[in-house]
Amino acid sequence: MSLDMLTPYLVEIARPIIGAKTIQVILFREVLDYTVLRTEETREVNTVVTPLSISIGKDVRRAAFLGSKQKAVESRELERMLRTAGVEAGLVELQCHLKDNLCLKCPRCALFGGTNVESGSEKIANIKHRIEYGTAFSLLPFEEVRVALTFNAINDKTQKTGQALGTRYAVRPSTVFPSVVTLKSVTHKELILVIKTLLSARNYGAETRIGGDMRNSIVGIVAGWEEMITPLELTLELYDRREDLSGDTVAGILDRYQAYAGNPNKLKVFTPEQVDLMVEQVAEVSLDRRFLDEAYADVAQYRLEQKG
Amino acid sequence: MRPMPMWLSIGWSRKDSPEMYKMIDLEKAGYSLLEGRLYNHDYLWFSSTEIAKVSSTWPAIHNYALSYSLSQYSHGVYRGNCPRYEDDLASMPLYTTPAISPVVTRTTITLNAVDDLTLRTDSGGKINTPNLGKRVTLDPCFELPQSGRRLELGYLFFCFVRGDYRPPAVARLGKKGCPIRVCWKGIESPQAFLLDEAVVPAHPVNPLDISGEVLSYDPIILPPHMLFRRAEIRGDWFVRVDGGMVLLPKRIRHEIGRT
Repeated sequence: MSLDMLTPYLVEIARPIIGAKTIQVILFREVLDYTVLRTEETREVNTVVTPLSISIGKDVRRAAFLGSKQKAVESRELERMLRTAGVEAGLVELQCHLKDNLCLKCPRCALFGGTNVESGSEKIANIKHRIEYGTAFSLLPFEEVRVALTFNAINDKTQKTGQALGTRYAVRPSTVFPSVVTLKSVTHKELILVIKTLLSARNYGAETRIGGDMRNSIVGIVAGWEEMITPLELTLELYDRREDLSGDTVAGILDRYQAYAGNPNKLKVFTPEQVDLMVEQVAEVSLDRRFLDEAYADVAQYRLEQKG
Repeated sequence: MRPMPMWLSIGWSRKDSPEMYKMIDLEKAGYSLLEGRLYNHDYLWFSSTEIAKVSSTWPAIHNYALSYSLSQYSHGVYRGNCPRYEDDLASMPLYTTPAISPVVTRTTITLNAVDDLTLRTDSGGKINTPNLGKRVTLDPCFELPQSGRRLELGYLFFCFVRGDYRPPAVARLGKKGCPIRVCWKGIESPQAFLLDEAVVPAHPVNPLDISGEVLSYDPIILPPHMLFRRAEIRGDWFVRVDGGMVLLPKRIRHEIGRT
């Protein structure tokens, strides 16, 4: 199985005190529908100033897809997947939900972390996340990816819009956000759950009832004892090669960054063929009773270790 | 291989105190010195100050935070109510100076955490979970390396590394794990000297690292312990690096004295 190639970078069982084993999943997040990436009351899309590319230092603005906006969707996607798979496998329905009712018993809590929020109860240990995100930056400058859409809501009785007439700022379809999801000391099962989550997560940003469709394509995997590349570096590197956005291009970039690592001899960049095979194999894994029982047992073991 | 005790290499007996040497060869003592230039490749946030739910970040990075980050030292569980910095730092393979950036821009980001059940951010009663707030973060920073030109942006700091440990070039820092890139430069044959005259180090200083006399200082109040943005110190140990002075932290000197 191709996933076996990642075994040296996976742990047998998740532990509260983690080691250095790191897997970076490189993604292209491609916008398929108008997507609203905003946090402020101005309703403007988030932007950030960066160099144009790794070779051209001219400052440009790029749309910023905050890491927290990626994580929120994918954490909930994994939770949904576990709930449905659990019911189908004949388990008790997952009672865990964000933000004030974390069970601290399921693989979502074990991977994304969780805090016990029950007041007045026995003090229970928290779980530290082992999945990390970073802000993704649009490949092209902001001016090329932004769009302002006028909206209205007509009053059926008067046929007037009144104050319901306004402007909605969004990122246009076909915008690409090169992105990196980093996994620290994860198990084989957690890796499978993460890849399945990345493949199935679809809606991002605000106003997802009318937009926000996005497709995540996994285009690279690198593993080692540390992170090798940041999303900003990936974006700046890819801008110079924007005519050839492929797994080969990403692998070429990752190969070059290997030299900067603290422990380059521990790093492994997987070829596009290996990555494709891994993703295919993960997609085929069934979240059946056995898989879920083992995944939940791992979390129970983790919690047991925390109690000491 | 365990490094040879330094006093053996220069012929002093073990009971002599390190101050008597007037010079410490860090390499012989098993340490290397690196100059690091740190670039945050995402919004960097830690709570330097917090007023009315607005949490602000100052462009100074505490050396404890940096040491934890670059040692890849992360505790998932902790028993007790107070951090054990001394125990943790003693087991880490490196120790850094604080870092500061002369040029930063900031962005305010509104955060929220929606409750899946109520779709509100303010649910939860008296439970202390994230709801709606603002954080002032430091903007991402990137500098294109150009041949023949020194790097100028980012956060400058110095790192004392024990043994063969190789610090990572990419790590995570701050409350939300901002990815950072560190450009490392090794300092050749670092030697520390005990200097009687007043010296202003080329970096901010953690007062807990000083063993000399502080003549003047410019404080930054930053948890978990204040820093001196600029300090004038007399009678302490320094390493000369490119014309500037790097303070040899007290804990490193004591560690060398113990080997």
